[in-house]
Amino acid sequence: MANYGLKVSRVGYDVKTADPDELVFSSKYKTLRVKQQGSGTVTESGGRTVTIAHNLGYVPMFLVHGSGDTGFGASSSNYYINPYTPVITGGEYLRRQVRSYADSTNLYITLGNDFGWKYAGTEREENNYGFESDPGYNVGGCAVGRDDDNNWGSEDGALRFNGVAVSSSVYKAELAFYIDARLGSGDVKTVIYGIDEDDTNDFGSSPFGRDRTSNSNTETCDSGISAGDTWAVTVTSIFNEIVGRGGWSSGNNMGFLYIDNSTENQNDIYINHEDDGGFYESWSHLRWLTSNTLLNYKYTIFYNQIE
Amino acid sequence: MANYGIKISKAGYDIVTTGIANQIFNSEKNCIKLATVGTSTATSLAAAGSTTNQVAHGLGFAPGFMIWFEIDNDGDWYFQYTSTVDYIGCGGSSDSTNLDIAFYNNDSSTHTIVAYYAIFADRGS
Repeated sequence: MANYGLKVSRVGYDVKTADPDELVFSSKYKTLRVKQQGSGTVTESGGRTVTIAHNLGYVPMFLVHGSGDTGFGASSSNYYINPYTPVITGGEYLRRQVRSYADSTNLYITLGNDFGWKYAGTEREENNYGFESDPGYNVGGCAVGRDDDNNWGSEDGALRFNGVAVSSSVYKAELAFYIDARLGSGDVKTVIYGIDEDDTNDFGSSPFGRDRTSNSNTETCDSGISAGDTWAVTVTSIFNEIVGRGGWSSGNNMGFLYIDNSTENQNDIYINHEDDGGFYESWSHLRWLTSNTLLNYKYTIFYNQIE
Repeated sequence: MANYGIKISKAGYDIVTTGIANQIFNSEKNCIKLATVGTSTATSLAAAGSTTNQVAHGLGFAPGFMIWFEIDNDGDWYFQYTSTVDYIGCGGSSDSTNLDIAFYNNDSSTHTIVAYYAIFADRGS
């Protein structure tokens, strides 16, 4: 390019000899031209995705800043250049990505399914697993369902989670049972209760005679869920009932009971504490969202085209 | 700096009184200038594979940059390092000679990744 056009140099630099980075403006170079800017929130109830129309008819350059994953202890008021993607190794992937992408019509901001969740685990401690069947109470494993042919009969299970770091009611809570072994492929029906205690003691003594929460969930582990899967159910009301107890403190332990409600023989699910993975966040776990709002974002869409 | 130079305000704002946030141009403040834009492709990147392409920029300093990428020509362009659920993506780093674009495919299938880069005529820091 011949040496002509409009140039403006930085203070202290001779515009006739300045290098490109010493120029405030040069008509030799395109600049980023802002088409639209905005901000908003990504919510759980909104499906963890927002769609922002730009209607340019081509794919534009864009930039998204998002707040951190509060489930990982990050601030909700600091903004990071998208993406903020802590990658967890071991066990299964935790999908905590913030993804932003554009096509010729819209800009999309979407969150991984695990973004925002806080976790508590069993940490594979023997006394955090229990089940009761016709022969009696057993510790170290959790079974739910019926196994009449092997003389176990109706099986009730219990899981206990350590260090539930929450001090007030939450937006959503989820209880997940990692199925290490499954007998049969039919429905395993259960009614889930919380153990109605401020700080649930371990299962060295049977938990099945302890007080139960008034809230419960009637759930079915159906044929689509197999050994190796994690069966997760929403238990928000139970969780909040326990957190709402007068003696509850953040960091206490919380327990749940799976009371057999099955009618079909030879169907159960089972996990032994030794087989429950080493990475508690992705195997049997209790997790919760403190708020429906997961991410605050700010975005800029440029007129510049990705060609 | 004395109050002189070229200033252009947004529509509806008085250029004499408005602050920098509502100015479209101010010759006292640097504009991000695009030195080079273009594409770089990792064709048929194998499962669990990665590769790096170099783009010479000739600026003589480490420039700022942005990268977007598309997977298998599907029309969706992700911002750099934004992973899909299977961790396919790309990112970059610059020095005084090159922009290095790193492609990675942690999926179990082969993918072609196209990166679109914008190298600034401005230093990265």
